[in-house]
Amino acid sequence: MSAAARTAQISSTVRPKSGRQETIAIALVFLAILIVAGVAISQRQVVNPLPRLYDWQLSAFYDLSKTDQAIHTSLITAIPELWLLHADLLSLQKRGKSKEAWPDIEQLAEYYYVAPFAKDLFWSQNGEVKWARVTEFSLEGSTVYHGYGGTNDQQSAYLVVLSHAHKGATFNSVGNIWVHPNPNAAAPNTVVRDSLIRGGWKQVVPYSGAMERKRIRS
Amino acid sequence: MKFQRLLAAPLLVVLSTCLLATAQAQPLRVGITLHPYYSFVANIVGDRAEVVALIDAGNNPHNYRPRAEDMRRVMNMDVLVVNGIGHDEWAFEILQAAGRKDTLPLIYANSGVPLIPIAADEGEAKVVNPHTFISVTVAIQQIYTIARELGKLDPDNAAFFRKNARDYALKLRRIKAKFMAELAKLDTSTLRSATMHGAYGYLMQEFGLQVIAVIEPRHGVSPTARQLGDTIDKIKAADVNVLFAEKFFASNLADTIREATGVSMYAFSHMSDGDYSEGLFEHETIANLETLVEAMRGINAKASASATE
Repeated sequence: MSAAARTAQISSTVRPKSGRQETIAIALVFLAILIVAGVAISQRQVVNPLPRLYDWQLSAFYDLSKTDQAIHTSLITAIPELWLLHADLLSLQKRGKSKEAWPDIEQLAEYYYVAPFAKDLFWSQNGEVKWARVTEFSLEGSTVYHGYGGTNDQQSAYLVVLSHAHKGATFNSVGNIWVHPNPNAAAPNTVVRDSLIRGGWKQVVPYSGAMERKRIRS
Repeated sequence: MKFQRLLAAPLLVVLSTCLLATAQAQPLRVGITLHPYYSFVANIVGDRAEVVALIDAGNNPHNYRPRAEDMRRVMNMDVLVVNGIGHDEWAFEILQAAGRKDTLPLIYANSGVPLIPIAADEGEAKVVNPHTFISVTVAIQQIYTIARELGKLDPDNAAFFRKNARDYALKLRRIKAKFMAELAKLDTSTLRSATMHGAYGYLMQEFGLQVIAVIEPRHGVSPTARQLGDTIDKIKAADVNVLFAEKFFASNLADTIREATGVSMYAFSHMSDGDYSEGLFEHETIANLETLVEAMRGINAKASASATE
């Protein structure tokens, strides 16, 4: 067999696979990746743990001055103490040993060293705020501690509103803190929310550990 | 035979009642993640519960990696007290690995604490300061939260826990008041402080003091050369006169900064070293407050020396 004949026998035509099909396949895979990634991103929700604030509220974390933030922290911590002392005084009242149901400023400051009422370094560094327990009028069953006369820059007036606990509550930490841009704002005649708002008071919303936990988990 | 049966029935009743009573009387095993929580819980529960540390003492809680023995410990706990805001995230890894994520009750000590940003974070994205345990005021908030939650798990001892929490809170307030009185004798208006680590914001806040700069962006994370240069410039510009480093986290950065700026240096306790103990929080708080008073005396002495020159 001649060389030419041998070549003719083993040669065959190889048709390349269509480049168009390959391109389409790669494009489809690419599109699928994009769709999956897009859906995943859209499903991923970064939870904003801070509740949406109304214009009559302020965030303790973002909106308060250093002085207001320090006083707010100490007031929040004072609230469970106030409730515990209230429970003690109620029990003494039942036995006729106390006329008061809530601790006065002197007791808080002198005996229990509770900030921000105690006249210590914290008090002097944070504007020497004057505190008063507001008892001379009816506040819809609430008790109020009023802080005013602070002398630091950007300092507010403060209200701690303790609404009465349900029967049987012994370890309460419920209370609201309000601030007024005028450090000498007088105590309100009522603690009904709308009246406080009309009077220029703003409720302070703390950024709590529970909120931060929610953010971390998200 | 009939007599034996008659005797067996009441015996069984008595035996099961005894077993039930023993099971009920079993004190709670309360787990904790960080040193101060050991002190808080130990002071609250007294001898009516057992306090169990989740990890061995001597580890740095900022970069802890869970170990096998941690999982064994968590299996025997009835409840775990956590910081939960970024200082003990490894505890959640341990719970997950041990399969107790959904079965072990957790007490989030900080659930009601009003958090503040790491000092000197203003103008940038504010980051939560998780060191709520290095402060008397905020510690008390956590002590009450822990006592309240433990009382829910062990109602028979709830009043006992509450009383102990109050006594402990008053004891801590008295310590704070003592140092407040010491500091009140000094001129604190001239303190311009920086800290190596952002852990002391709550402590300084409760004394009405401010931190102007924090050197390490995050604990154990060294600043870049540029960040360090910026910090040195910031310290000079703000006329910082005291740098608070840390007792148990030595850093040669502190020396570099001291040499570059001439600030005085003191060391605070981060409360995460040494053995777990009931008295650790008190001891370390007293040590920190003594350091604060010493720093203030140093500043006052320098000021009076320069006034006489």
